[in-house]
Amino acid sequence: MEWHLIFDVLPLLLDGALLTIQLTAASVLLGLIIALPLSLMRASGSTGLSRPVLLYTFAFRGTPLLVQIFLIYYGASQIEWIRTSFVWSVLREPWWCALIAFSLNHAAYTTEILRGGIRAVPRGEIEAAKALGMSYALRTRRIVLPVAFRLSLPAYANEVVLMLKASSLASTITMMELTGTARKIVAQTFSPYEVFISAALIYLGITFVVVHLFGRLERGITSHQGRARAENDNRKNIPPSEGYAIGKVSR
Amino acid sequence: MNLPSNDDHARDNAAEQRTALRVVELKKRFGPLEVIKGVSFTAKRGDVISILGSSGSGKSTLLRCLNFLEEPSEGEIWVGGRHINARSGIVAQREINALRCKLGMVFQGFNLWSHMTVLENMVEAPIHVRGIAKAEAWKRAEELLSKVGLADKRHAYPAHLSGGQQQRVAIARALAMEPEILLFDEPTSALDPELVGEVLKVIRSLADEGRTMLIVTHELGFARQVSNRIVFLHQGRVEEEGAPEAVFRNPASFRLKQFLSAQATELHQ
Amino acid sequence: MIELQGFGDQIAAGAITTLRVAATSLVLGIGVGLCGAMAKLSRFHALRRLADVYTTIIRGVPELLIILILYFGGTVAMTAAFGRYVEIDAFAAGVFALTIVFGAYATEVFRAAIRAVPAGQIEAAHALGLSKVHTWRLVIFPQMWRYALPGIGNLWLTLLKDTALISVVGLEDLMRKTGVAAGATHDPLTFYTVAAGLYLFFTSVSLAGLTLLERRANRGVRVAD
Repeated sequence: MEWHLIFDVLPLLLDGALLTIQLTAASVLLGLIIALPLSLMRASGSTGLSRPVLLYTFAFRGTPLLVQIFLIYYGASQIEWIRTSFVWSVLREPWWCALIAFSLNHAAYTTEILRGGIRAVPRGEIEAAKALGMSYALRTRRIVLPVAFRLSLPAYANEVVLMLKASSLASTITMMELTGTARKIVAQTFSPYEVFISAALIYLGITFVVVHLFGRLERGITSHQGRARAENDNRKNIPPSEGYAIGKVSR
Repeated sequence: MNLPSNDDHARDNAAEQRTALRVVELKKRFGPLEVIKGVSFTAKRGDVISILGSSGSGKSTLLRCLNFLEEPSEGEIWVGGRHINARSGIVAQREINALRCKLGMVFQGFNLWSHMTVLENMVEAPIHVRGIAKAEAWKRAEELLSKVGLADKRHAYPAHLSGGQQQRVAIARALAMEPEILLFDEPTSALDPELVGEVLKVIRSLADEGRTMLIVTHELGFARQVSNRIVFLHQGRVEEEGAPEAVFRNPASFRLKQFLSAQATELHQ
Repeated sequence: MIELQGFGDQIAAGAITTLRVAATSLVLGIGVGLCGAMAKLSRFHALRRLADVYTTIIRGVPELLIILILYFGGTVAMTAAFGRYVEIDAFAAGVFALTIVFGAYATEVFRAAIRAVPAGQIEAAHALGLSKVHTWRLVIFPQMWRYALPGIGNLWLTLLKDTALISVVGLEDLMRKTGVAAGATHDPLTFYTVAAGLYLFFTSVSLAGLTLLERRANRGVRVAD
C-alpha cells in the first residue's frame, strides 16, 4: 500500500470529480426541465397524453443506462443524416452524448416520481382552487406543482444521488470524470486499491453533501407541515427513515 | 286588450334584479345512475336557503353542479346576469371560471392550501384570478380575517390551526373573492362538536349581513334559525320546500316527516 | 426479421450469462440483505454500527467503481497471494460486486419489512409460548415477505440492468457480446437496439411475475393498507 501515491494523484482525481459534478448537475437540470411537462401529461386523465409518455419512461427505465449511452454514442455515427449535418459536431463529443443519455434517463425517472407527487396532491385543495375560479394553468402552477414537488422531494433526492453514481458510466465513452480518471491512473500505476478507494471516498463525500443539501431543503420546505407529514405515494420507494432515502429505483 | 303597462315592466325588472340565482331542471347522471332528477329553484338576493336531505339525496352533488365541480348533464343556471345552459354539451372553460368567480364555496374538508400561510391562502385568488393589486388584496384579506376573528393567525400555516379555525379561514378566503352567492357544503360535518359553534356564529353573521347563501347541512336547529327557506331533497328531487317554521312544524310530505323524526333529538335543542 | 449476421447465437449465449449472473447475485444478495437487516435490528451496538457503515458506503459509491475495485483489486490480491499472475474471474468478481450492492439496499428493505409486521402478532406469539426462533420462523419471516416484495422486486430490476456493467471488466454477457457484434459489423444501432429489446423483455417478464407474486402474497389481506 503506497499511501503517498494518494497525495500525488489527488489533484487529478479532484479534477475528475469536478467533471463528475458538472455532468451530474447539467443532466439533473436538463432532465428536470424535460420531466416537468411530461409528468403533467403522465398525470393527466387522458390516455392519449399519458400513454406515449409511459412508453418513453418504460423504455428508459427498463433498459440499462449503459445501453442507452452506447446507442447514442456509437449509434449516432451510423446514421447518415446525422453525420452530414451540423448536429454531428455535437453528437461526436462524448460530453454531449453522455449529457443527452443521462438527461433522458433522469427525465424518465423524474417524470414518474413527479407523477406520483402530482397524484398525491389532496384532491380537496385542487377543488378549492377550481371553486375560486383558477384556470388549469394557474392552479397547476400555484397549487399542484408546488405541493407535488414537496411530496416528491424524498424520492427525488434519492434519484439525484443515483444520477451522481450513474455519471461514472461516462467513463465507458472516454470521459475523464472521476471514475475514468481513476481507471487511467490505475492502468499506469497498477495500484487499484489506493486509487479506487480514494475515488470511492470522494464519491462518498459528494454524496454526503448532496444528501445534506436535500435534507436542508426538505426541512425548509416542509416546515409548514407541523403535525401533518407529507407522504410520497410512489409505491416503489419506502418512505425515508433515518439518513437518506432508501428505495433504489432501477437504473 | 291588456298591454303590459310601465308599472308591470318596472315590477318585472325589479323582480329580475332581486333574483340572485335561478336553476331550471338541473339533472346529473353518473353513468346509468341519475343522482339529480330535475331540480328547479330560485334564490332571491339575501335568501338563506338550507338544503336538507338524507345521504344519497343528491344535496352535495346539487351544490357542486352549481359551480361545475360536477358537470350537470342537463339544466340551466342563471347567476348575476350570466346564463349557462348545460344542455348544450360542453360548456366553455372560460364561462365556468367566470361563473365560479361569482359563487364562493366552503367545503366540508376546509381545503386550505397546506403549503401557504393563512394570508397567502386568502390573497391567492384575488391577485391571480381577479387581478387585484397586491397591496389592496392584503389589506382586504386582513379585514376579512379580523371579521372571522383570526387576525392573529395571519402568518400561521393551516396545519397549525384547529378545524374550526381552518373553516373560518376558508370562509374568509371565499369572501375575499367578493362572490354574489356563498355555497356551503356541510361546513361543520367534519368538525369536533365543540368547534362547530364558532363556525356557525360566522355563518349567522354573514346571513345577518344580507348575503345570499345556500347551505347544505345536517344541523337542523341551525338551519331552522338562520335560513328563510328550506329545500328538502329526496332521491334527487325537491320533495318539499318552504319557510322553516312551516316545514319543520307541519311537514307536508311523508318522507320529510320520516327524515325529521329520525333527527328528532336535534329539533329539541 | 432483424439481420443479426450470424451473431444471434453469441448474443443468446450472452443473454443467458446475464441471467445467470443476475440470478446468482439475487440469491446471495437476499442472504446478505437478511443478515444485514438482522444486524441492524440486533441488540449489539457494534453490529448495528457495522451494518450502518456497510450500507452507507455502498449506497454512496457507484456500482461500476465497486466492480472495478473488486476486479482489479481482486487480481492484485490473488497475484500477491499466489506469487504469480492470477486473474480473477469476471463472473465471480461481478457476482461478488452485485451481491454486495444488492445486499446493502436489501438490508434496508428487509429491515423496514420486518418492522412492518404488526407488533401485536409478535406479542401474541410470545404470549403463546413460542420461542424467539419459532416466532421468527413462523410469524415474522413469512409475513415480512409481503412487505418486502415491492422493494426487493425493484432491486431485482435494478440488478438485471446493473449486470451490463460487468461487461466493462470483460464478462461475456449480453452487453459484451452485443459490443463485439456491433464492432465487427459496424452496425451498433441494430445490435444495441436488440440488446435494449432483450433487456426490456427481461424487465417486462419480471414485472409481470412480480405483480403475480404480490397478488399472491397479499391474498387474504384487506386493501386498506
